[in-house]
Amino acid sequence: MIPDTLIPLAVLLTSFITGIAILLLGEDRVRLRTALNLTGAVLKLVLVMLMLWGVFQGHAYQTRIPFLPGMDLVLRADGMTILFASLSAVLWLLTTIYAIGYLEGAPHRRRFFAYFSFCVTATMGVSLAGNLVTFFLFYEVLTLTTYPLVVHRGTEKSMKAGAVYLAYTLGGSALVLVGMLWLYAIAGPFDFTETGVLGDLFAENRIALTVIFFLLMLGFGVKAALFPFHAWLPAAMVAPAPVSALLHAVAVVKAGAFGMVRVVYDVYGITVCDEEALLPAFMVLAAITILYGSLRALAQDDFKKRLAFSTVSQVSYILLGIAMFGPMGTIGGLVHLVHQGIMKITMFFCAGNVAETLHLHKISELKGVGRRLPLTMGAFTVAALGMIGVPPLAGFISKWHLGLGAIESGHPWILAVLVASSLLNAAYFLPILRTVWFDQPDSPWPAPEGGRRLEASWWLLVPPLATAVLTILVGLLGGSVISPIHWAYLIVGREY
Amino acid sequence: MTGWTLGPEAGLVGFPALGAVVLAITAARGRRLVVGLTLAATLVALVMTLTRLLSVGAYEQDIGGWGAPLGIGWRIDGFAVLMLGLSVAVGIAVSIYSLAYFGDEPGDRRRALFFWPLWFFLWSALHGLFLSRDLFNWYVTLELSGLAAVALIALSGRADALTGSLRYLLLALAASLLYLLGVVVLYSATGSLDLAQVAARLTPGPVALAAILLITAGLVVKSALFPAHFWLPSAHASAPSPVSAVLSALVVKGGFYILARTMTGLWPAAVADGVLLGLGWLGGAAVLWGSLLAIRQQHLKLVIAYSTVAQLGYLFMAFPFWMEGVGEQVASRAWAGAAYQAVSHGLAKAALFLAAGVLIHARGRDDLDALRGLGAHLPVTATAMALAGISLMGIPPGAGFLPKWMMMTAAIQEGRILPIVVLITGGLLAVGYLFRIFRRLLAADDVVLAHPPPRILELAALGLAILSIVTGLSSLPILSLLRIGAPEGFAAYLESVP
Amino acid sequence: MNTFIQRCLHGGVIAVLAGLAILLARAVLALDPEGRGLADTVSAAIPDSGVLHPLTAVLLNFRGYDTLLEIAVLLVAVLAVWSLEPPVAPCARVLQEPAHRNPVLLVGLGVMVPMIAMTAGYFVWVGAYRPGGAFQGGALLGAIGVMLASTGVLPSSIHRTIRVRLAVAAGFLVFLLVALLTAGGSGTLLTYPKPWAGLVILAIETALALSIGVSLALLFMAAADRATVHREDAP
Repeated sequence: MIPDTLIPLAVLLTSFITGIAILLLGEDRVRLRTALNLTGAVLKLVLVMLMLWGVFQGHAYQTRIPFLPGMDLVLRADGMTILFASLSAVLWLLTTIYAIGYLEGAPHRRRFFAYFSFCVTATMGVSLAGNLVTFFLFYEVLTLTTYPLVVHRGTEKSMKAGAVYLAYTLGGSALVLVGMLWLYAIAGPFDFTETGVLGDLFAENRIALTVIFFLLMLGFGVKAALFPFHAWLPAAMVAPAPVSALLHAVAVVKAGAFGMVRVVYDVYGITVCDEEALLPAFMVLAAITILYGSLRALAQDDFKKRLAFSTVSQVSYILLGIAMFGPMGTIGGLVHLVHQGIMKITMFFCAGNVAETLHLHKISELKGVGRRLPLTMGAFTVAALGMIGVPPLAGFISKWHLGLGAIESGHPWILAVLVASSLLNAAYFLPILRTVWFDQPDSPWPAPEGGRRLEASWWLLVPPLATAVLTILVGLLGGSVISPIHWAYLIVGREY
Repeated sequence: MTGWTLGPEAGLVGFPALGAVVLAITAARGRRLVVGLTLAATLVALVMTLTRLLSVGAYEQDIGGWGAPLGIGWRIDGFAVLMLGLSVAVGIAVSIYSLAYFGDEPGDRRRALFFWPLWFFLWSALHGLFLSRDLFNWYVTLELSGLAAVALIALSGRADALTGSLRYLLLALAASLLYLLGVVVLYSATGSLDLAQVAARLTPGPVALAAILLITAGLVVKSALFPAHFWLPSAHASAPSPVSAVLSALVVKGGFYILARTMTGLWPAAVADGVLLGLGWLGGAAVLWGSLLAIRQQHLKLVIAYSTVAQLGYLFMAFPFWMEGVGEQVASRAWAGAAYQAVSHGLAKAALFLAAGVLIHARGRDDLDALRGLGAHLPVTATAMALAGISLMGIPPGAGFLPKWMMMTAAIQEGRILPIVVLITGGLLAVGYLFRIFRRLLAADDVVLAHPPPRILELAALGLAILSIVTGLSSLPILSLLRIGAPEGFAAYLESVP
Repeated sequence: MNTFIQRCLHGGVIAVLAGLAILLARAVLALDPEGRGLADTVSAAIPDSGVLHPLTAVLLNFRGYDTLLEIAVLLVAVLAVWSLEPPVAPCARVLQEPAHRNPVLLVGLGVMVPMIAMTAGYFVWVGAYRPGGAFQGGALLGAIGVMLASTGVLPSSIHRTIRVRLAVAAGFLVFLLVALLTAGGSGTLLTYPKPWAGLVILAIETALALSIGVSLALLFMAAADRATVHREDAP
């Protein structure tokens, strides 16, 4: 067996070595590359599940590598790590399968899959990071390794999107860097600790630590597409569908949101944040982003753009949950980290299928697509209903806890925001469903290529169906040990 | 005596020089063998020097056995060996690269004839510079390295290379003269040329003031600090690519090295403080100005050359933290940061120039738009550029992050905001100019390669690029090496290294 | 606008240099006029140096390492000039009439070359006791080279032969080998074994004189070549 101290490192290596091996392989070694990709993804999933079980049993997984005098790189698994890491591991496996199908015959697949693997390595690093400097390191690696994926198509438009992406995310990183530097100057090197590490320090350095809090939160907020730093996300829609899935569900925006979670709970501590009134500003910002994203989504006819603005809105639920003081709000925020990922990735898989098989990109063109792609659109429907918050789907669980949290923390106006947002969700998702299922197509859809019985290849169908099933299961089986909501309860038990 | 009879560090100067003179005599005959033996012998000398340093601590060598003030002395400490290590690493990669870079065309053959002896003399002179603690001997090593560099720049035979090298020659000459004047003043006042003896005998006053200004001015021009940087871009960009790599990675560090040595142990604080502060301001200006100009360049090697102007600025931004009254922790962080930056920039910049050489060779032109779509054809080179770029941008895990972190923590402990602003802005600007290269490499254009480059060129660049990431993740061994014989008052930060 | 900036820059540079000059003047005035530098220390160490003349002792023994590097500078200079040479160099045609057609010149050369060579040898030998040494001897050898080249006896493409390259490099090579051997033997560069110091220095000086002479002559020839080429381009 692998010793406990090496498992976090092994989790990183499963995808890192995969990436290197893919780079070394020739462009045309498709089979071997596919095998490598899947082996890496499965191996990672197994390791993460192993850690999940271990952490549940009270095991401590920790790898410490000296980095600078008095400062180590720490990789370790706690409850939050497991929440994020298992989400990413599961979704990476599915996205890899999807990407293999999606990019069949496309150029530069070696580069794509190599950076894809590096990207996931970085995401795992973010989830396993045991202190701020480790977090920052992987956060930056994530930014850089995502760039070649965003500009993968190599067109002028994708180059522009890549520039916007870099400008925003590296700008955010600069804020984080300043905040982190200042924080280390005041607090010295520290590891993430449940209930926070600052303690009495806050009272002594109130102004500085308040400024630092805003620097860190806004810095991470850029990647989490917080208003007004969200513009890069819709622009990045030019990337291929698997990359969008990665950006929206598996890695990038999640890394930003996860950073905010770490700052609030494991650096400052939720109690300190509440006592010093650091949170209301972010509650308001989250509410604005939720409504703004939804309103912008309403106006989009481009399928992927509508989904992108929907992400802007939905990711802020996480911040909303974090910003409310009270276990229920926290649970709602944390669990949405997972639920949003599962639902949104389903939608991107479906949008990708529509684009790949029928070359349609606008919602107004989707009339009657449900008859041509029933499985795809079935999955999409489940995800959309989940997003709106129809019980017992994933989104309902999140919104329910957020609602309870709003009351618990004494901010009933949040309820109004949630209701308004749900109505808006319905307003921009339901018309899609109507168009897809009930409108008559302008002309009959071409039959599947080569007389296939299926609407698309297995590679493209299995992932959205799997995530759609997950959307239902996480809601239905909320009581089981490995459900996200159960983990959220577990974490919250340790943070308060 | 320490019981060692062999002087391994002598090989660092001697073996490259021997290789140079043999290649000057034998020309192309048996070149691979001589080059291979020279590289191997120099590497062995480095390893033995390191071993000796680790076993006996910092030590001194009196050449000819005379001792100061009569003879010339070497001082072998962590800083010196770190720079020697950088030089040997870059030197070996550049040499392997150059064996394949100069091809079989008549022009290339002729260039190779002169490249090898000149380059090995340059290498030898740099090692002499890093080992020395004698003010006049530094002048001689500066002359030797400078003259060899001028000849190497002119080797490409292009008109702009001739202009560039001539400009460099004249400026280097003027700079050497300023430096020499300062040394003469010091010698007249103290009767010694040995760093430690001069330091012990020097008192604040007009003599010390004139000497520090003359010596610093000379070295500032030599190391291309803003506003004396103007000779650098054309010279570095027009030279053959392996030469550009050596110039940017090593030669400009020579001036910095002597400055760092003199600033940490020669001058009385009363005259040094103002100079240190001034150097810091110039360094900050260099970071911003160099980066902005790099963003405006249309040619690959000019972008990289202006990036050198900017990156050199970081070295000098450490100097104000060495002023009187700054805490030892802070001074020590800044000192370690500057030394680390010299190494991280050296590795990354050499990798970048070598990679640029591959791209230009493959495409036959060097404007930025010629790079469009090349990444798909030359993935190894593109990877090398990306890794080196990470280090230059100062993003972890690139080695360039660590010096910035050390300097920023030093600044924050001193409560100075400006350096932090400059360091972070410089990093973002570096992203700006480097991604102008990367985005073109990733573009979807179909290109036809003029010449498919030999594999070994790509691998030499990649090797250095990987090293620039490895040094970003292995700071403790490097810092503990730096601790050996660290100048008095600059060790506090390093004491905490296990 | 540009000229204005240039003027400002020039003004700035001049101002900086003027400031440095004033400082330098102040520093020189502040120096101790009685200071003798290291003259006394050098005299005291002469008996151990293997030679009797202080200049030679400093150049070849006390600071022999500096001289070693300076010889490398000379070698690099020769290489640099060669590397700039036009690929196909015409023979030196400083004289329109090659010497072998001019009996007066030939006789003159026949008398002068051996005499100058002998003087050069004497200078190298005498360097141990009084002013002289490799540089002076080398300069005289260089003069021979200049005479031979400008009379067309030596072809300018001469450096293509390995013997000439060997002659140019010999001084440095010998010096360097001594340095490396002493480093291997005693632990530091250029620590001569005491009883042999004089002999070693003489050997180095001889090789240096040869190389310096050849280098100077070759530098002259390269320059003369270039001059010829330019003259031919002119009309």
